[in-house]
Amino acid sequence: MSWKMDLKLGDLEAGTAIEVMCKRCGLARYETQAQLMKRPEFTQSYLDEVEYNLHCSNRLCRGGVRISLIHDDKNEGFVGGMA
Amino acid sequence: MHRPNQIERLYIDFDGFFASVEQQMHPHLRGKPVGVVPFKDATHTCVIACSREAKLRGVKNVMNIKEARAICPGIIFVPQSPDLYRRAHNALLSEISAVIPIDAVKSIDELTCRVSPSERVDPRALGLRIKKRIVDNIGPFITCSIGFAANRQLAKMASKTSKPSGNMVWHPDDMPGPLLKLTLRDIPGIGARMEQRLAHFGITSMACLLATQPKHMRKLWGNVTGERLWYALHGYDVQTPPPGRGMYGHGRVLPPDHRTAEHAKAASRLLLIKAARRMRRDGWNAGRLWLWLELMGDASVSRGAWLPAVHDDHAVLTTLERLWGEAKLRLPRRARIICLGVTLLDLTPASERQLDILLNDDKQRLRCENATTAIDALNRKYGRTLVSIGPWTPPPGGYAGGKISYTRIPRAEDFW
Repeated sequence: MSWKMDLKLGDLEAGTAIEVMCKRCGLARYETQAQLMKRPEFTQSYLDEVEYNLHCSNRLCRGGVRISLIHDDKNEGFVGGMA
Repeated sequence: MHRPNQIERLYIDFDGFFASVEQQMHPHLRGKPVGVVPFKDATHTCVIACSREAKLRGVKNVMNIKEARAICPGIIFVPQSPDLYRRAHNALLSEISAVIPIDAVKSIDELTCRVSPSERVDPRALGLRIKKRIVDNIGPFITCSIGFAANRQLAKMASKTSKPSGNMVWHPDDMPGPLLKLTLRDIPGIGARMEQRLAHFGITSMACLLATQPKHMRKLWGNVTGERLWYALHGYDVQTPPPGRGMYGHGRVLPPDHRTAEHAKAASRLLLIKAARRMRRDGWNAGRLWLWLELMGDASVSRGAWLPAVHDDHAVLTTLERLWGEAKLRLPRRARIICLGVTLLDLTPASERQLDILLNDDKQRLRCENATTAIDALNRKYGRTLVSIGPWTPPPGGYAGGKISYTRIPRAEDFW
């Protein structure tokens, strides 16, 4: 079972960045949890359902998309080589 | 600072990450020695990463391509795909997060987590759950080594000793036994020069290093890192505070037929726009711009200029133009520029712009910032650099501004 079936959109924090990338044309866009939660059909959806219902923003493509979470806020460099 | 008497941290290190992602994605590479190289048909550069099969035949990371081919004639070289590695990284992190919350991402293929009290009894089972999740949902060709210990540093060392595909537990009760089997070079943070320095003071083995005092280590290192390392090796839960953001910049090695000032200038514009874009995204203004050019024959030219705490493209590009004017006066005739870089420094939060009493530019700045915001919105909407100020000429080789580094995992928009 993938992580998308484990998590509901509502479980994420409002500011969580979600990358939405078209599987057909590769166009990527970024949505936040708060933006997607404004759509009534997503308020109780699991992330795999959100992914299924989202489409490429290019109106000539409208292909299926792959979503992923951005973990930029967790990045931490090595200081003096120490973990 | 406490000294845990249980396992409190885990460290995950993916094995030959770039090469294993390539093998996962491309079935024809599976089970074969693979070397990832910076670009297609590269001959005079080095192997960025190699697969387990290549390592077994003696190939190492950062080995010259010719040398790698001599050692392993059957090696398959594949050009790097930073966007693919970025996507694999995001997918792996999401899967791992479903098992255990991630504490910090140390690089594209390394991360660390806190082990919850309920998991401390049987950490190996937790490691196996993480591995199973990756195999089931990502694939069996991307493997990781997991280390469990009292702190991050020891957990990292434990993960390194169990490569490839290990699941090593260093319980505090067993310490320092596992450490004594290692050499000084096995400690992250000790390189060849530090090893020489330690040898100069009579420290040639792990046992000698562990027998020193914290203040002695601080003196040997010349800074607090030595003392922190002492505490980490002795099992204390010590970690370095995360460094603050100091600059945004990009560098680029130019291909042989693009080493003229004109080509270098075009590349520097593009790199600067990308650096400024990232800086804006993170909410910073820059107070200084630096341009550096490395020339054929070990010469270099660098110029810097003050900026009035800005983040818009117009301001940084105008300053870059001025820097190029100054740099060209210093460049020798027919200069061959091998590589170049642009850096935005002296960062201040964009929300707290300090106006200059002698420079009444706020009105113009707001106009330029609004134009830049509109440009960013258009580019983001269409998923590519549709609008830019001035020409947009990406240098050959692709991935300009999309470099993967320890502290930076690029976003899709960094490749536009």
